[in-house]
This record gives sequence, structure tokens and C-alpha cells, in this order.
Amino acid sequence: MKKNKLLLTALAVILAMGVMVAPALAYFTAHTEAAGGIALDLGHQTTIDEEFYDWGKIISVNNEGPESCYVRVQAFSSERLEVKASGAWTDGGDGWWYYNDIVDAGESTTPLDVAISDKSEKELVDGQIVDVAIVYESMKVVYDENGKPDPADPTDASIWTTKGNPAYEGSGE
Amino acid sequence: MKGRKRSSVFTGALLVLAIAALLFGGIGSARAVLTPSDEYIADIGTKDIALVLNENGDAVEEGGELLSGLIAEGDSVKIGQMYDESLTVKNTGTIDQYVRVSVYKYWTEEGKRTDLDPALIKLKFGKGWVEDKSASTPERTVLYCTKKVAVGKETAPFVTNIGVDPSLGTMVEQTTSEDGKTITTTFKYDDLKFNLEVSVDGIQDHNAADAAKSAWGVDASQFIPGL
Repeated sequence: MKKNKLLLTALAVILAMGVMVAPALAYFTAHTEAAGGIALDLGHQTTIDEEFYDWGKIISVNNEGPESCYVRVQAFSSERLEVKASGAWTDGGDGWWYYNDIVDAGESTTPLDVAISDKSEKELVDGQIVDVAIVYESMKVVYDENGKPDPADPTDASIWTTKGNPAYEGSGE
Repeated sequence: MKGRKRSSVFTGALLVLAIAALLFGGIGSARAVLTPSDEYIADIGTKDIALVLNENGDAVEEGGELLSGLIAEGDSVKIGQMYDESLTVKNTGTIDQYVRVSVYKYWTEEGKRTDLDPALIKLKFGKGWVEDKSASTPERTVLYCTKKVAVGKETAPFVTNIGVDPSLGTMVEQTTSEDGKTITTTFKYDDLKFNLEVSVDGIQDHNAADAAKSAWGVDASQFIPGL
């Protein structure tokens, strides 16, 4: 009798526990994931080539970096200079000569001939040194959403300011 | 004596039954050979839920790599350009599903660079998806596909383009050499890697509201009409 009571009690407890447990529901779910990345290569490096002749030098700028760039050049001297551009150079009228095209990685500008124009034979002094300094700047090309260069016109002087677009590096010689 | 008799009757009955069984069995076999029988096959299948992430039309396996074909080998990313990057989800299971995706974008160097702005990684999202703005952060965007994805069907692209902001080109630091001849420009984001990570979740279409609450912990009906 006592044994039966015990059994009934145990059964009641188990049933009660069973009622208290919320129904466990399982749903079909699926999952997948993937990831990836690309490193940026923003740096660019340019060098200048100078080929001297009697009263001038022929210069060209080489893009040795991995990115395309724009280039502009300025010449300074105590003497009067004459610049003869061959190919895609534009006189900005602000002292700078702007290269019209993009200089792609591994490529060079067309030559720019910078010569001292008004030195006559009479003015020559033996041992006199005449300096012609060349300053050049290069600017990384930035693109619009469709992959077109933006700004598209590198001869626009305003894009060559730090405020306008400081993505350039320059070196003087 | 009486018991013995009973036993022999029983044995005899058994013998008769055995012979009868043999006869009918033989006939049955013969009939089976002589006449074609119908086959009844019980096909018990289980429902299967599965999905796959597609990148520009190609399936990306679980844990696979994204962006590997974004630019040609040897090329570098053009700052400002938005590249085609079409990401869709295909239902490869045997039941219809509702789908959500979490899209992550972030910068890495050797590890994750949480100090750099994810907003400079630009994504264009597609139509047919609704953003859960409460779950989104500058790094993560959570999108719900507004339509049920039927078996074998593919969603509209949830990402269509990726690129980096053109302002990266202006984030520079310039130093001039002592002789003043060389100006060096250092780009803040040079050599950094921009990353895209996608996590895709699907739930069954039956009792989908409850399933979403259970699996995703959200009331998905606010994003998916008629859920």
C-alpha cells in the first residue's frame, strides 16, 4: 500500500514537471558566410630625367610608382628662359607647364625643352655658372564612380593646391 | 495407448498442412514468375533548407573569399571608382525561405583597425531589401529580403557596387626634406586593406514569424510584408 502511494506521488511529480516544460519548437534555418579584402596602393613615385645640351636641358618626368598621376613642371633661372614643349604640355600662364595627359605607371611624359634664350656670345664669362632649376610636381589621379578621372583636366591650376586636391607629391631639382 | 493415437492424428494433420503449404507455396511462386507484379515503393524524404551566396553570378562556398576578382591581377584599386560587386542569395534547399544578410565593412592592416572609418568604404545596396537601422552600425548593415525566396530562386542583389571614397586621396601628410628639394606625401590609408564580410541567414517560410523570432530574435514582420 505504502509502495503504491510512493509510486503515485512520483508519477504526479513527473506529470507536473512535464506540464511545466514549454513546448520545444525547432525551425529550419540556414547560414553561410564569406569575407575578403583588397589592399590599397596609394603611394606614387616620380623621378625626373634631364639631358643637357649647350644652353638648355631637355626634361621628362617618369612615373615609377604603381599608380597613374598628373605632372606639372616649373623652371627657374636668373636668366631669361624659353620653354619649348613637344607633345602634350600646356603653358598655364602661372609659371607652370602642365602635362595634359595622365602618366600611367611605368610611363614618362614627352620631353620639355628648357633653354636660356637671351645669352649672347658677348655676355659669356668664362667660368660663370648659370643655374636653371626645375621644380616638378605629381598628383595622384582620383576617379569618379564610373572610373573616369576626376578632375579630368590636370591643367586646371586650382586642383593643384592643398585645399583643392592635396593628393600630390612634388620634388624639386 | 489413447495418447499415442491422439499424437499420431496430430502428426498426420501437421503432415497434411505441410503438404498443402508446399503445394500452395509452389503454385504461388510459379504465379509470381509467370505474372508481372506491381511494385509499391514508399519514398520517405526529409525537407532540406540550404542557401548559397553568389558573387557576380558565381557561388561562393561557405567561408569562401570575396573580392578576389574585383580588379585584374597587377592592377590597383582606383580611388573613387565604384566597382561592380553583385551579391545575391540563392535558395538551394527544398523549402521556400526568408532571408536576411549582415554586411560588414572594415579596415585591416595586420589586424582589424577599428580606429579607421568604415564609412570610407563605399557600398551601393540593391532594391528589394529593407535595412534594419536599429541593428546597423557604421561597420555593419543588416538587410532583410522583402520577398520569400522560392526553391531554386535567387534574390535581387543586396550589394551592387563597392569602392573607396575619393577623399582618401586627400588624406595625406606631407614632409619636406631638409634641402627643400623633396616633398614626400604619405597617404593615411596607403597599404591598408578594405574588407567586405557577408553573413547570410535563412529561415523556413512555414511559421516564419515565429521562426524569425526564435532564430533571429527579431520581429521580422516589420521588414517583411505579410510575414
